[in-house]
Amino acid sequence: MFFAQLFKNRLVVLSATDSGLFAQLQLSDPVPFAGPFRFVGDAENEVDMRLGLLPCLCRITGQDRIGDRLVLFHHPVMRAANGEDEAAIIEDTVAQQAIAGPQRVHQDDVVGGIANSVVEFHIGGKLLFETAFLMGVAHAADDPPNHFPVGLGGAAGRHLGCHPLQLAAIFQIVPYRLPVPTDEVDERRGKDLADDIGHKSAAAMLADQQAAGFKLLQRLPQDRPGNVEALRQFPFARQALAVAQHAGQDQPLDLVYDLVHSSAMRDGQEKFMRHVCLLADLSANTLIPHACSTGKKSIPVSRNREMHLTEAIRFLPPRAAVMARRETIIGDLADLLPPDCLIHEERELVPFETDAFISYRRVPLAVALPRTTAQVAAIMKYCNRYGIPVVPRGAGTSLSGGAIPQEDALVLGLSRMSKILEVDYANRTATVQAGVTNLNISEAVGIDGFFYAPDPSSQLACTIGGNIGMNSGGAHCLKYGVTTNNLLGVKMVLVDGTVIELGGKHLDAAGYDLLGLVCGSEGQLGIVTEATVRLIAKPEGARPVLFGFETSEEAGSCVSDIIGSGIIPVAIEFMDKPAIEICEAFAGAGYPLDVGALLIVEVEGSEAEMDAMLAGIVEIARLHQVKTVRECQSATEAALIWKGRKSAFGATGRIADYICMDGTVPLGKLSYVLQKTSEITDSFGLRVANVFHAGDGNMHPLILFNANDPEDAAKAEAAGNEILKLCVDAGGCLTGEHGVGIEKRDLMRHQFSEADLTQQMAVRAAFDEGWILNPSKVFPLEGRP
Amino acid sequence: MLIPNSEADAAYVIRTAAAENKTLALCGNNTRSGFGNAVETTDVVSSRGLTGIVDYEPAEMVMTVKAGTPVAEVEAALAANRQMMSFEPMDHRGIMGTTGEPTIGGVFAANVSGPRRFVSGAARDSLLGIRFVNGRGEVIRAGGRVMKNVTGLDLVKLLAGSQGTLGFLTEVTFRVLPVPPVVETIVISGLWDDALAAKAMAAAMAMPVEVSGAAHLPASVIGRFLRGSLPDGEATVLRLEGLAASVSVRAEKLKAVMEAFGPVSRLGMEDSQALWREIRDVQPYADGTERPLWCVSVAPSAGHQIVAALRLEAGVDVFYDWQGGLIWMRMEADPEAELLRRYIRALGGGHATLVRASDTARAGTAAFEPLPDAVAALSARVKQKLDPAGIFSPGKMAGIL
Repeated sequence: MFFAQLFKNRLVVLSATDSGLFAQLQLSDPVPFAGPFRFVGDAENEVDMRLGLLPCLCRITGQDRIGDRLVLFHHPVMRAANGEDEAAIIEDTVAQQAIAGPQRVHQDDVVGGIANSVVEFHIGGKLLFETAFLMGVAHAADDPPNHFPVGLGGAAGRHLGCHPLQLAAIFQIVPYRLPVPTDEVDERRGKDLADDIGHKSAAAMLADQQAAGFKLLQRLPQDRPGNVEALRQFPFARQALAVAQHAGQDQPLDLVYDLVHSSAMRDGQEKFMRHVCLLADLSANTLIPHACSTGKKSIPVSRNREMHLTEAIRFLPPRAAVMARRETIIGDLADLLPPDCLIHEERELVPFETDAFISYRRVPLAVALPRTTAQVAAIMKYCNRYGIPVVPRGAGTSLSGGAIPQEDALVLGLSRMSKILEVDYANRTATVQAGVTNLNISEAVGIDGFFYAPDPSSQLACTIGGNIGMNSGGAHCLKYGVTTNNLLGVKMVLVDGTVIELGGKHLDAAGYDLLGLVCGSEGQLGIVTEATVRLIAKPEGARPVLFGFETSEEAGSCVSDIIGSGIIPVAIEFMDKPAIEICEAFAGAGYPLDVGALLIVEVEGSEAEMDAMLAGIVEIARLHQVKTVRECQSATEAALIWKGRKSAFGATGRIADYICMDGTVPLGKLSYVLQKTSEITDSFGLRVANVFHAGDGNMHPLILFNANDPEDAAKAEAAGNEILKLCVDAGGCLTGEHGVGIEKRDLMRHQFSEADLTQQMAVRAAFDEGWILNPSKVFPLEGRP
Repeated sequence: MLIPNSEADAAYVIRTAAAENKTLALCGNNTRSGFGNAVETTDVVSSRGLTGIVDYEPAEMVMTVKAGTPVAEVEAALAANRQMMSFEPMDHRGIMGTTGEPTIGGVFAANVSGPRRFVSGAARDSLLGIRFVNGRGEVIRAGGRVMKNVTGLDLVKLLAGSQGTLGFLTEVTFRVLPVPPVVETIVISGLWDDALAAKAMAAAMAMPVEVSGAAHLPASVIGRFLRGSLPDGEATVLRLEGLAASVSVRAEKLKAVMEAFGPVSRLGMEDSQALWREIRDVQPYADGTERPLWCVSVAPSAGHQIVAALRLEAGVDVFYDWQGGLIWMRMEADPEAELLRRYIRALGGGHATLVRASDTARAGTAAFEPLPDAVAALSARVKQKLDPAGIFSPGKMAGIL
């Protein structure tokens, strides 16, 4: 149902996936993808899509429509380059969907809580690549559940030679590594998948993909004209070609050739890979997800019928002076940026109208996608001079609306500043541009035995700049802390365009801890363009154990005792009875249904250490009348324990719409708050399921409601507010990791006194006197200076 | 000295001072009086009248304490529940030659940490919430009692380490951790080349053994530790903490790798605890002198390079903590601030804080690393928002702060 809302009146554009990494939709904590749900495929897929993929889709789902949404594969850049009419092609594609394509569907099973199918792509009898679909689940109120595949640019990634994860970041969806399947029906495929992905590190996969791309290129004919022509047969080159044409290059194919192929011949694999990454960068950054054309009749895209839960949260009214000068401003900004770095056409602005807090949307004035700190500085200087609001944006995965723009605002997107600048193992630091994704850092250093600790569940898409803005946490923060504890330095552009550096590879501040102040400031103090983060040596292994308790109280006091005992697990996850039932019904992970609460406790270390720690934890659990203890002896069993938990959000989305709260409470108040939470939802006639990180008291109650019923939606929002107030009253706070954004802005007075807020706003003013940085967020609109 | 007995009194005192254009120095028990540039103020306000543990639930691993509470009292309460402040706040009395009881407010106001800082974070990382009085005499609350909290601007971090120039802390809430049941130290002997010691420490930190202390003690200071019982020569020391089973497994692994660098021996629980306390409190330079003492924080691989460069031009004695990134540096004569800071800038940046010197030497030296203009201007604006009239120790952190 969540998808039903999300896709309402929208054309959804999908691409193929890779066999190694899978889009994770609603499967983890809490809504792991960005709002405007558009994916674009690569050129290769377009061919397949039109000939084969779409029928394949239809075969799987049994229909081409999900409710009133048309699901299509689509490649806007390619089409634009060819000068074809977009809408006509889409219709054409729809008309062709009955044509059987060259692919074979191996199977279509439920694995790890998601349906999974694997498809081989053939062209001219040759197996091009194999891809797997992740099946999201959506159903409208009056429909039976429909499966639909949601792809990720993995296949594109393979052919581009860049990591699927990089593409995922651009496509703004979140893949995850499929747990090794355990279902009997999936045994054969499961083995293949395990061989393929389950036992391979992402870095190893990346290396494989790169080597394959290199080999492909080396097989090209040796003469230049031949080479240039031959490039056309390679998907990555075709995509790059389209991009180059789109960007107005005179000799696009030559450009691509020079960029990639010649370097493959000349410079050896390492340099080749660098160039391919550059190319991927080029392609990916130009593949700004486009809104579909509204030019033709039947395409159900409407800007006026957006889904809103309510309109309870106000934005600042647009500044008339800015709106009146829109054209001038766009012209001026265009002068400050390279040609392809400014987006201002209305249909291209749509993807930036919201983030993962999709209930609210505002189409911005323009979007700047600078490539350098100097460009960011020039933009800030200009916007500050003319009082133009600026809303910074990373990957747009904010759950609190932190990246939602406003009509008079320039969105300053950092996604093109996505280079890892330096990895320094001697000092255990990585220095990266702000648009690098969280997971990219760990991927880059993983092969050498390091990782970057904060792991928000959107880590595949979310950027380090956004993490700094929100001071993001994650499942592992019980042991490793949140972003602020792992951030050593930033380069940042102040509101007037001044560039400053705070911190570095050393520890602690020379003067005031401005770095600590900036972290978590939700884009209100400046634009972070680079960051230096701490790396940590990767533990040897991790292992979970599952406990079932009679009551939430027992589970809660067990958490306290585990922590009090001196053992610090890396994660302690809690599920209450409604959550267990929802997850078990969906995922079939074998969770006990005769218990009132469930804990999944994970420890890290060598085998001997984990044995010792788990033995201690089991002993403590027994003191709390634990009813079920499930330890695991293998990776398969471990995956099974996590399976239900990881599907919690998706499974909940299957039975109802929900909103997810993010209050944190002191550990000792967990039971009390759980009890009160259910009383609150009862009083509104709503249901609630609780799945959260118990080790740090960060609650995530999911309030279930029906989004098609405005009254129900309003009730859910009201109940959510009551629950957040409850968290504050219990000695906690409104938000543990999602940020205030607009979502919780108007509740700030419940947590802070007038003097507290005034002081915070005064400090804010030391950075941004004119309130142009993300101005509708964090602080209640009334009572501002 | 003004000693308010309640937060309301403190607010009144500060409000009055602001109205009368008086300046105030803020302190606890003044055991860190050597910190910062020497400044003259009209009066001194101490938090020593605000004492007591307000709230401590061991199972929640969080403690709320009034700012003037002695650190010893906090540590005793924690120890009774086998808990600790993971950032190991150092005691400055030895090197500064001060007396009295350090207060918990002073620890956070100066962001005082110890050897575990480079893996477990500084005092500021454990600090969850504060109450303070700003320069207008208003009581402000920031942060809270929970370890995950992203609600509003993080004024907690800003106040931590502000050395009493932004506000008067009245209450602090911080996270605590269980005391690891077992502590052991791996000692690598004879790494006379600091660069090699830095390599060994970096190699240890790259292993999945969770080293929680990494210090290098050159021959010149070795006799000052553990009553001279460490073997002569250099000692590079690596601390392992945790459950007994974990520590023994890790110690074996670490030892196997470290043997490539030099002969390895092991210190048991008692010696380890004593050694790391002595490292924490900078025992070699708790020498009763006024010789200039610097606390230098740089990238771990830059530490030994800075020292090597300086040695060509000045008489310095040093030892290293934080994997080599923290240099405790005693100058034999002048502070040599310019020379030192030039090398820090040249070798990747960081900061040097003069924690001890004669009055004359202090008068001519900026105690804290001078900030780049834009950062200094920004810091001054921030100060102005918390202390508009500039009544809290003006000039203590820099000319304008």
